[in-house]
Amino acid sequence: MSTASVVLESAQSQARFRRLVGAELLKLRRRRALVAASLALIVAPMVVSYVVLAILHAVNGAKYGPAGGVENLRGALQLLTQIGAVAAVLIGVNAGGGDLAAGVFRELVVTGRARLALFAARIPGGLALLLPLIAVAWAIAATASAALAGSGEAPGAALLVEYAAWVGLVLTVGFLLALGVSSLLGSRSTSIGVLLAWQLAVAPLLLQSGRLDAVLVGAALRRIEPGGESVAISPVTAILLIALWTIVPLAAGAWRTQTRDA
Amino acid sequence: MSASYVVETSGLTKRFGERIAVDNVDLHIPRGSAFGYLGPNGAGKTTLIRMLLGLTRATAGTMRLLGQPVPAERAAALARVGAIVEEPRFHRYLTGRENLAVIAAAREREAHGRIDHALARVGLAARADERVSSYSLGMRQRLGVARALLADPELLILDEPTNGLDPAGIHEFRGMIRGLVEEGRTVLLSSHLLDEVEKICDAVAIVDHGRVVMQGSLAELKGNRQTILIGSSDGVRAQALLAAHPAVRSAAKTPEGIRVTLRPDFPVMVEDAAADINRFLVEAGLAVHRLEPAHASLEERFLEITSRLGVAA
Repeated sequence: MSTASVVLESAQSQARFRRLVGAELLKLRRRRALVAASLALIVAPMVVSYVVLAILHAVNGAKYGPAGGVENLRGALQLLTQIGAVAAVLIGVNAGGGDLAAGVFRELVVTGRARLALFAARIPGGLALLLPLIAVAWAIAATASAALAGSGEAPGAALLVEYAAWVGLVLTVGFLLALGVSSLLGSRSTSIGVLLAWQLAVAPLLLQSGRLDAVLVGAALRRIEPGGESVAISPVTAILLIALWTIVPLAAGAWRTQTRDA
Repeated sequence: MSASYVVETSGLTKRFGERIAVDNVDLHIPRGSAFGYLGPNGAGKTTLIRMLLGLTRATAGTMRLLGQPVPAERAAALARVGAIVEEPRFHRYLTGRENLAVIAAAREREAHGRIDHALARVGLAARADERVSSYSLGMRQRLGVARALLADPELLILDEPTNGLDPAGIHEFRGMIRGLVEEGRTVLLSSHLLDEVEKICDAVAIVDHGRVVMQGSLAELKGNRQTILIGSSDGVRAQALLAAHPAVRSAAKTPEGIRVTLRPDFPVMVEDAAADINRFLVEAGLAVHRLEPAHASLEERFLEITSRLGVAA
């Protein structure tokens, strides 16, 4: 096979994959309830937070400091990672289990397309919905924290970039975990129940105890938060933990997609 | 294995635990025909189709689709196969056109360009931009056919495709299938509806308890049995007399007259047997006003085959 034909085949293969990704995004963005919930859980908290902070400062400037600044930015983005994680779970679960729930997975398999490609396309397809929402939320927080800093310390560009990467990472990990779990379980409702129970109840309790920091992804994400609280694990351990919590569910989901009766 | 067959299976078997759903099936479907895969509910029709399409794994045996071994060359084989398995399923919140776009994205680039033509062909062009949740079952069936056409298929596999269609829809569907066959495509139609298969198909395999018990052209399946239709002045007495005739295997009263099935091992031609039976009835004092060879319907043949198996089991 000549170099030219290898390059051509690779380009065709990439174009085919991009079409699959586009179809995944279409399926997600046309779910009105999902898009509305995601906006409410990712973008709305930032708007509401800064509006409330600005009103409080305007009403009682002596008691409440400026709405912007580094501290309020940290608080707003921590809120974003907590509430936005629910949206990441919803998007991940729909990306992972939407075709199965509708019975369309069978129709996709019948096309002859590799099941692994069908699974892989869900990742960029879901991120194509999630990441722009995160970017909007971050932009609101970044703009407000700088514009409303008043006499306080405004965040620098480097810190803003660090926070953007951190928030993006936290919610992407939540999305990938949800995608893997729902592809594995094959049921959206069960996956949402399991993941939200973990995210909102079990994981916070375990993190509070501090005893399982060496294995919890939440501890790892806290460890690498810009200027965040200290967690007794090394950065390398944190990175390995994040990789593990991402790769293992994805591998399990891919395996199940490959082997399940369609 | 020959390229003149679009589907070839050898010893194909599927077990679910102790239960055998598909039992050692050897199937040869000729190119360019409408082929009926006929059997009662639970006979293993859908399981066989699911194996052909790679939706579930075979326990044993080999398969070839369009000359390609499956599952080894599944992608190449299915590139020119369109299928409806059981009730076609869709994302109900997407429009008909968007649902086709989702499947076209998984196929070759040209598939997207076939969407409009496929929608027009099944008569859904005007409703293509409405959500599938507003479609009737019949419209979803037609959208399923449109989705299968995105592959520009050499082989269409349709599992119980007329479920939910009204009589006009069924009639229209038959015309569409025959049109597809006339274009040189092959249609594998799985059904428990004998009338449907008889009206659409050129060749048939009859399946029961997971096994193909007979396959061949419709004429072959129906024609290897000798039946005579008899009208008499005293139907009850004629039926009783005929039941005792040495050439007769069975004599059943039907609205058209007495349907007499001759013993296949009786050593005379059907015309000679008819003459002999006529003489027999006349000599018994009965007037015979109708005596003609009758073609067995597929339904009769099917019931005969499957009930015989049931007795044997």
